[in-house]
Amino acid sequence: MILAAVWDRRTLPETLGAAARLADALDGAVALVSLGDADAAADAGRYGASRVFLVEGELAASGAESTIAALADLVRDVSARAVLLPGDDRTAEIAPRLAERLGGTAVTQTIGVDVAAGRPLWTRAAYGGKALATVTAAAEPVVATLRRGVFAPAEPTGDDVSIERRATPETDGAVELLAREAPPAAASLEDAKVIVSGGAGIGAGEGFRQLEELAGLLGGAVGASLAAVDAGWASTDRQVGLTGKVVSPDVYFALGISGASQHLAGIGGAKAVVAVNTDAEAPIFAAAQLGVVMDCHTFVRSMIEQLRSPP
Amino acid sequence: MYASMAVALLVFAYGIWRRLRIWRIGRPSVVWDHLGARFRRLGAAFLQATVLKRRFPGVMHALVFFGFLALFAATAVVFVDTDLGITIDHGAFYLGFESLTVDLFGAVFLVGLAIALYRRYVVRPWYLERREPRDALLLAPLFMIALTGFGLEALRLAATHDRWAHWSPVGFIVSRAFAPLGAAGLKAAYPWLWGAHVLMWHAFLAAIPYTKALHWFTSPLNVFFARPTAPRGVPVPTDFDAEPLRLGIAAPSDMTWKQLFDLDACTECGRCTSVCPATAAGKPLSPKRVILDLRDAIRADGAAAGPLAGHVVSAEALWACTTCRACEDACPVGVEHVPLIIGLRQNLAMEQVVVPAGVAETVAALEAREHPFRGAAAGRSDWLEGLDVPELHSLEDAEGLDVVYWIGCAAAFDERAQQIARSLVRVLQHADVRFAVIASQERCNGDVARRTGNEFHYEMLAKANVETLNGAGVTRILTHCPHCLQQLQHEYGRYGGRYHVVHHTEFVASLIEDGRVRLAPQAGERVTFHDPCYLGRYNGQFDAPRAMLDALKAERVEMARSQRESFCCGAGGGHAFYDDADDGEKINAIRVREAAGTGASTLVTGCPFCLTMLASGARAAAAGNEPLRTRDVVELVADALAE
Amino acid sequence: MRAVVLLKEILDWELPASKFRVDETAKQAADGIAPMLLGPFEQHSLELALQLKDAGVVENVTALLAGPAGSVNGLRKALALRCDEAVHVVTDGVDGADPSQTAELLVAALKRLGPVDLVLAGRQAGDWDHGQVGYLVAERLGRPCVGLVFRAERDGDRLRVWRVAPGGVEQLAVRPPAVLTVTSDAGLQLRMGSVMDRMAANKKPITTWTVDELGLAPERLAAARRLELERVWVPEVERRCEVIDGDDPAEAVRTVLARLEELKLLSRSA
Repeated sequence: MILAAVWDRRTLPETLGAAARLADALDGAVALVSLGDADAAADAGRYGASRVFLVEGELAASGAESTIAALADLVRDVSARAVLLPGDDRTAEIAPRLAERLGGTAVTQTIGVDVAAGRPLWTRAAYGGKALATVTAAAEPVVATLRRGVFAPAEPTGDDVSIERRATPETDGAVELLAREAPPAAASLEDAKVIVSGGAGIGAGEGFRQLEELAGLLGGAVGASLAAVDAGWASTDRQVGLTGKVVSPDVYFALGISGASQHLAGIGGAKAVVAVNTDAEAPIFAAAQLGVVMDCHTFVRSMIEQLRSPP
Repeated sequence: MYASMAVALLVFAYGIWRRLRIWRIGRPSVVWDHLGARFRRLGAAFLQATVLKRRFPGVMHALVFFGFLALFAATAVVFVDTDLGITIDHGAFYLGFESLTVDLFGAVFLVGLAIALYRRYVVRPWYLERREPRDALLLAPLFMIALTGFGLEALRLAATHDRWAHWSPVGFIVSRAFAPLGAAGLKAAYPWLWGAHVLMWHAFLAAIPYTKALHWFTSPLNVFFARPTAPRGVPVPTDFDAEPLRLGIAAPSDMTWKQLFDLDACTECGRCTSVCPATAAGKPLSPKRVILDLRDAIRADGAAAGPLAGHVVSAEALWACTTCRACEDACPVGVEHVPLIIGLRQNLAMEQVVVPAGVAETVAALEAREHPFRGAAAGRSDWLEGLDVPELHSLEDAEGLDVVYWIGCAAAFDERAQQIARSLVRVLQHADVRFAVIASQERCNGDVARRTGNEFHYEMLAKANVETLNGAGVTRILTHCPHCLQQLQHEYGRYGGRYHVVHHTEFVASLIEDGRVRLAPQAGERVTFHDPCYLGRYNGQFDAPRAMLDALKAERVEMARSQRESFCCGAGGGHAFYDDADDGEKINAIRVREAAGTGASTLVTGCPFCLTMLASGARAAAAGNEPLRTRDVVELVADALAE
Repeated sequence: MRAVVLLKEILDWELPASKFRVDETAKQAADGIAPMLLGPFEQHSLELALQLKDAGVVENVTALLAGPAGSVNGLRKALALRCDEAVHVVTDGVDGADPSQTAELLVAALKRLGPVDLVLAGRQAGDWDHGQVGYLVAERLGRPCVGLVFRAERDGDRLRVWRVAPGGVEQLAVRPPAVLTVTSDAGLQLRMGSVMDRMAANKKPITTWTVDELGLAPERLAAARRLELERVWVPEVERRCEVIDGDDPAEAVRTVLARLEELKLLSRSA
């Protein structure tokens, strides 16, 4: 049995997809546990899970303790050979601890899994994504965290399955959740997952104000190139580059930025660079994954409009 | 009279002794080398060379200076004649010198003092920072002493009906006013006036060591003591093996005796502050205040004064300095502000760890990666790919080379600076110069560490570089960066690095002169040259870049503040890597405005950091429009090469 | 309270991808391509520990590093920043790529150190990026654990910590003895040390333990392995930019947003 665990329905398709393919290769079945999200549990059967669990209650009240305990119980109940989790700030802690509780192996930053001779072969990213490695686990169950956006989603083909409900286990209270806060308002550039960055093409006045708006809608931070900082459109603490900050967001919007190497020096860690520039020859396009040759203001305005309106 | 003279001399001597006590707690200073140059500078100072650079106060001081000297000589002559009994004061000498010349100089003296009073209390230049009536207490007594001197002369001329009276024109005129007193009156008035004159002078003499008049003695000496030749502005190195370990200047005893002497040589003229770029940008740094605050603290608390770095002189003031040396150059009395400021920074950086965030990050980068930048888009030699430039690896490779081209960090990591290097390579190849690079084996020259007081990291880098260069048998080095020039030529000697280093402007200018560079210059555009501080003021090189521009047939205009008086771009002292608050216009903005004011279409310079700063300032000034063009001078040559 | 910071030296993570090389035989990054430095999250842990000491929450900070002989720079730096002691577990002969094995070594060392109230570890080491060691140590010591902490204060007899969580920040209280893993934050930039401290640190002793001295027989260590590393390689990176037609702004934006959603890098319902 392969157990997939999710916290919300957004990560359901890819996590179940990976679990289903692995289960298939091992001649097993797929179970899904949703930690707190009833909608995800409802969808699970349709996406191919043969058993569906829903853990209810104040899961987060004890930090990760209750979640780990609940998952450990389930793994034992279904005799899972592997547990697949979507990779995020929560599962970063849960996966190794869960694996240890079960006497198994944790595999993190997973971008692929194959089966050879009845044994799963896990492919994971290392050295900040500069290298790939394949590993096998010496002890089962394996608890793997999956890199987002890599695994193909499951097809909605199955039937609904009845949801087995579980309660949040008790813990010893050594860890207690006191409060939740929104992320800090002025997200620091180094920690931001999304950066909306403006360069010489942005111009004075409205330009950077619109970038602030866009960043707000995306839950990100505003960055700037040296040219924009020089021109006084952004403060120096917003500068990205060789003499500014080195950032590693998931998405870096380079708007009206030419892409001088001293700027590129600061964005090497970005997972995806989206470049918008009127100059088709601008060096930024060589460093970007997505490029649009158009006026950045028009792009920003249009994006703000689309993000504001309901999908 | 002799009694009061003796008392005055005793008080004077005590005052000098108190000052001497302070100077003696300082560390050693080398002041006896380059004697020829030192005496030359002293001679020039005697002739008021630097003082006269500012016409109005210069003339004022010259009048007072030479006037006083003449009067003093006159009194000395009388002393010799009367008290020592050696008869010299008679005949032509008496008439020509003692009477006529001295009278005229006496008048000159009075005029000079009057101008001084007028300037201080009516004109009020901002950098004089007139503080208390204390300053008037110096000028007024001198004025009175001279005046009473003339009065005495006038009385004598009147009483004795001196038939040579007209040889003393001033005295003669005043004596007419005294005539109504009558013989008895004149005779009665004389001793009183004489007593007043003598007592005032004795009182003044006694007060000299306790007032600004001390500069009469300390200033000329300080001019002699100041370093007369390059390298200047170099901080005192740290001896990391010393027991106890002293990191920079924390207490007066950490200063050299010359630095302590500087404090007493300062005449509070304010010229240093008036040329300081940090002051102009509204930063909390006034070089004059640094000197005077230290002086006042040490006069009050002696050897126990302090902590000097961060308290007597604020950290903000110390971090605002760009080490441009304009202050030192403007100072007429040889005060050396920059090594003192860096010495205080050494304590802030290495002991107290009170540094701007950018400095901490830069030091961390130097420690981890041996270059001062964050991140790195490429390796040091990546940009050389495809350029057919040989890389030097061993002693054998070095033979037969004209020169080794030291690239430096800016060109290795910053794209704009790279263009300077590319242009220079093109010119070198065009001229068939046999050169090689060390590129991937280079590490930061350490100047940024040294100028921010981080001597520990500086030494690590310097020693390692010397090992690399000596190991490869390098003796002649070409560089396009004045900071690399300063380090490799002047400051690496301490670690066994002795090289002949030439800046690319000097090198290319001589190539042009030798006809090895064929130029096809375009129509003369209007250009102005910004002298980098570390090339011009530090190393006295001004002509080569101008010769290059002339060879390019450019229409060369000069900014008001050029060559020795060049106004800093703002990047020095580590500022290229950290920000500190400024209340006014940024330093590079001020400079760009000055350049634009010449009507030039291109601002040309010879340093990658000046280029970055000025380009940045030009963009800011343009605010989205077409900015003033900024170029390194070798780029213009490369563009004009006739193939 | 006594804190122990777990340190590791890794290959310079700012090495550009174009310069990165792998030794496929040795199954790790090639030797000598970049300097070995204290990892970024290790630096943050160290800074957090020192901040706790400054605040009086912790009285004693010990730096513990498991690494090859000669990898003492990080420990010297810790001493230069006023850590009270430095301990080096020499791992020559031990394959360093397995987090479970590393955790075994560190747990043995921690037990030998005596009573420890707080263990701080980086959330992951920037070389293998497993992100497991801190948590495995917590589980094997049987201590409560909170991951991805960026701030901590005393709260009575407990510690109040702030951690990053999906969608925001969580404040938790944890009762020592405990283990925290530390993530990055603007306030956790490792401080610059004074030269005096640095020179004094050069003379301070570093306690060195071998694997034998920790009572770990080779069989036991081998049994502690969980991951078998099959292969490491540098993938062919396709630096291909997908150019999206910019004629219709609305369409272009739609496509960009869709692509980013596909890549799971962005979500409309942020």
